[in-house]
Amino acid sequence: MFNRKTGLIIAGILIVFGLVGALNILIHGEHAMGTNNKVPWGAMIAGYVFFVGASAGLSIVSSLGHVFKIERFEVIGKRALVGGIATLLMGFVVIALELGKPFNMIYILFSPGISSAIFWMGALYGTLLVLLLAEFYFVIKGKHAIASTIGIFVVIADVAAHSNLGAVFGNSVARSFWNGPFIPIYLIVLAILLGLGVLAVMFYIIDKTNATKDSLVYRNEHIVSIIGKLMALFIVISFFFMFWKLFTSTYGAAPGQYEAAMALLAGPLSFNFWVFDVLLMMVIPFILLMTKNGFQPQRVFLAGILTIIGNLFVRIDLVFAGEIVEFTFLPGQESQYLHAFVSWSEWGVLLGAIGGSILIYLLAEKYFNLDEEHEHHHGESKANKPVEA
Amino acid sequence: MARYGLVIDDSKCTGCTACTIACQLHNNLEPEMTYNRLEILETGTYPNVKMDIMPMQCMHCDNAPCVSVCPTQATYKREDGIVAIDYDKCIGCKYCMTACPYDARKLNEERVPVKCRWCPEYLEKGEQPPCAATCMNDVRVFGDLDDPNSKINKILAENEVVSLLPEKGTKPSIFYVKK
Repeated sequence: MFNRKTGLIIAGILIVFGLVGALNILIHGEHAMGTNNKVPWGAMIAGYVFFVGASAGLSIVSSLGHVFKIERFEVIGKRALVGGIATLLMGFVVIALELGKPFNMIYILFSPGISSAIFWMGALYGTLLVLLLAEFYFVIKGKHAIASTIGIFVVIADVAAHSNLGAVFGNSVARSFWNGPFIPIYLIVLAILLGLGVLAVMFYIIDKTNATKDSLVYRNEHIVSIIGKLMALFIVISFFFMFWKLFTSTYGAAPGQYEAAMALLAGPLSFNFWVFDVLLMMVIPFILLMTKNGFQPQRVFLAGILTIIGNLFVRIDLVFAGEIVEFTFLPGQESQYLHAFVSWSEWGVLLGAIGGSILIYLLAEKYFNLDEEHEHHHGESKANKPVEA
Repeated sequence: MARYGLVIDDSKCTGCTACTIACQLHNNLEPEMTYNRLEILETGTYPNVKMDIMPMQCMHCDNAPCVSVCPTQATYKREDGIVAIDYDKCIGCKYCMTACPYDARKLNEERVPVKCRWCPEYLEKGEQPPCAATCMNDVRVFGDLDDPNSKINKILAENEVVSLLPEKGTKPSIFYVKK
């Protein structure tokens, strides 16, 4: 079922969707998006948060191996790094299409608005990309000491960049549902869950296609099974965050927050919320993982796919929930829910960016040696025979 | 240097929207684009009904969120208090739109979030901008807050005024006469 050619075909089809969507946005601008003057941020912003979140998650999880030296995670190092670069680049593509005048980004250098979280977003993500590429260069050149040192800065930059991205929302005094420290923290948790989902899918396919000479089994446990256990943990943590955010927002009926939370629970976003955010991102993957034989790679793979899809929707819903409650200014004026949606062009771009990530990864797999096997200088051999976990 | 402010007495507003049209004409805006608008609320049951009207526009805040969040300083606060936009620096990220609690921004066809300019070409000559000049009831009165003899200061001295959404900490330069 899985092979390189299939991967290229899937990537190609997705990229075609992406190109068509991108072209429509370039021609028709904001009219091709599901946003409007009252809901100015939509799926493109959420998609950007999704892709850079995947990048952050991959970096954070892989740091368990190459920064914190937990041996069983070392095998994911290089491939996670490539995945991190690919998804970050695709995140940049999505945000470039979202921006009305992307070429004016040059003024971030000449006229920096240092009080803006978006300025810091540009600065931190720019730095991160340079660090990721440098780490990849030294890893490929076999200079592991330098690569390892850069790896430490990569994970610091990634956490800084992604939590600052949360602050883009959290700093907004106008939007009660976003305002506060919740989103910077929540985005890091979601990023780790997303990174685990992506790694589960990647390494299941890598195993099935024999794409690596490395043993994916450490002390009789498959790497995908280990990822599955972490995934179960981070589903619980994500649930914990989501539950208390919605509970506190609805309990006291705080203006702006209550209506936004109700939009998710029982309003215009409720289908997305219950089906994708709750069932697909959390409940079904958790059941798949926690029932008998749940950490078998195939189960974890399936849970990974579902949690990735849910992770995209949870970001779309988080962005819309903050804006969907109409402002009121006159005493006694009742706020309405505003209309916003994800247009076909935006879906196209998001699918295309997934295809782009797959393509970059497959190209890296073809042109670079992404195996870790020959790099171990410690005494213990990891060449366990692969067994079904 | 003057420090401009605006006082709005919405109890005098008839809801004729002449201010909106004058603004559109002066700024050469498309029909669906407005820099100012009227918030309208009808309450009661016939025959006991009333209509509240509130003119809304950019508040030219002293602590403007749109200025703070702009990554390239495309939106900036002038010394005279006007919050202005340098269109050439705008990246079109729409952060100012999400940051404004007054819904003051609209996206134009060039994908730049635009808003009320307070027409400095009039204020600097001591004249009222078109939205105020066209009003039959002097709902809007612009003026120099640092000039003790200005008309705006006389209105502010004679009336109790409120700012909109003071809890947001934006310190608007528009004051509404309390009803």
